[in-house]
Amino acid sequence: MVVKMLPIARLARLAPVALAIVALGAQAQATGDSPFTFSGFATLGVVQTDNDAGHYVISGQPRGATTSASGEVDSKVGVQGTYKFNKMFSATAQVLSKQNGDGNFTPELEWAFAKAQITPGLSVRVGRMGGPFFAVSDFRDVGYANIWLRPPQDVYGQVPVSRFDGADVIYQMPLGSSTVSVQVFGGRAKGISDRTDLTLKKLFGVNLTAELENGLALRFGHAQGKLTVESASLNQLVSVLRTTPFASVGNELDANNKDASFTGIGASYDQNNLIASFEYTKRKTDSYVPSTTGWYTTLGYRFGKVAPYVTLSQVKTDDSNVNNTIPTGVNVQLTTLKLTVDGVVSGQALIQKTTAVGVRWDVWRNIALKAQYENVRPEGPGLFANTTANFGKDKVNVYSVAADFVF
Amino acid sequence: MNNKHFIKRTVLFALLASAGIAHAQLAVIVNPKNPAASMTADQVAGIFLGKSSTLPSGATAAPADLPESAAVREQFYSKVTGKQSAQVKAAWSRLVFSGKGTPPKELASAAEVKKFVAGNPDAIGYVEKSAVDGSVKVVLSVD
Repeated sequence: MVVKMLPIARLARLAPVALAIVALGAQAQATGDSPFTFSGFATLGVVQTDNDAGHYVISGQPRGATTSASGEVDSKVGVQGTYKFNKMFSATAQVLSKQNGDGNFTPELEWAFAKAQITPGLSVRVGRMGGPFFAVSDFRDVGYANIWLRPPQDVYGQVPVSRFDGADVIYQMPLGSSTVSVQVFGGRAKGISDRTDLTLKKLFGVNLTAELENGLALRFGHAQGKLTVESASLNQLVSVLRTTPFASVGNELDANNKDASFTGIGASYDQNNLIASFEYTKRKTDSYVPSTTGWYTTLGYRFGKVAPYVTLSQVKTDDSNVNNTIPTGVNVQLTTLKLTVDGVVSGQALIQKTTAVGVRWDVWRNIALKAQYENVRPEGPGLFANTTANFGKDKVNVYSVAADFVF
Repeated sequence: MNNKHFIKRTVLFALLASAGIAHAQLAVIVNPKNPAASMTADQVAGIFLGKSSTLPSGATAAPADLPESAAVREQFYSKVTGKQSAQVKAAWSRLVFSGKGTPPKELASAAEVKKFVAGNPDAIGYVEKSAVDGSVKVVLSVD
């Protein structure tokens, strides 16, 4: 049994770190024309559902909301500082504390990169940076920057890594009245999803965006690499299968240095109080991690400081990537093996549809309050954690409130 | 269309009414050494919303803001960029938290903005038109 610690108590542990950085920033700003800039963001959020058979989480978190409310899903605090050495060189670091894949709030170095602004349009960065896998990648944790209470999980829950270590080149140029940006990146990434470590080696990708004058922005992105999921139990199952005539099943399950890719297109519009966004994404792997398609579309309207919105989204499994050819009825061992493989595969299935309605209220200069209701229709575990066998048959109603801050 | 304008105006009116300010004329000011004779509202908006980092001359702009509590700031953003403060803040938070930009330098008063603009050839700011003097050059007037 996991005893739930009050989220406030968890956040309180971070307070000294946050305060120290705030003090440092305030001190730097007080000196006037300082080369140091400091900023931060935080969210205090609570979620509750009407279902005890699974935890509502941000994908990868081991613990979340049931009929017992949880403050551990959305609450977070991040601080960021940039030091400008001269017109060309700068260094940026961001520390972020949120419930991570290990279920704790240990502050993590989300970014730490050096940047060379070679020309006004061309920059090169080296170090640790946000992985540009989605339309909203770098500021997906900055609630204040987005209309939603949280990014639609049916899309954003497909990729369990948020940052990579390596380098990128960004070239930005005007094209007519639009601004086009080309980003090429490479390196390696690590992530933890539900207490399981995973790595993406030989990560390489592109991120193309075009901002049109009329408020429309378009995006295409692709990333690929070699995926390893560090699961001892999976590796054990694979090696057992490799001693049987069904080694091919083991090879299909295996997630050591296997091809993986993520591709997405997106569009967003923000003009005359109308807000709309759309993303369509595909995940592919050559392992037991299923190949999936996820999409969402959001429509919102700004009535002064109050902006209601609706999001429809879906994630589905295109291919489990495992063809379980083990026969039943030959002997007990083989039947057990077949059922074990079936269990692993069905546990990975990612199928759910979500309808969300919410409202953002810009209540004060740097504070937005949000409320969101979601109706999630999972088949199997969907994006929920700690699901029991009963889960996946009923709709789940999810109620969230949050306060987002920037400073 | 009409509806949108109606809502926009209603909101703007409400904001102005809540801020309790009269309609002051604003001036966008640059350093007298800046070669630009005038700038369009789009050019100024581009700089203050972080969409463009350069002045018409090609130099990297150094924009200066008044404090968030200043009514003139609210008026400047709604007139020149067509956006409310919260929208502007959200737009900047997207740039700041993707490591792509730094918001305009915030100065305490119109006098400080003028001093900053007068002392920096790449600076750009805005003040009430009545505060303009020979130390700065007006490139855009806003009613």
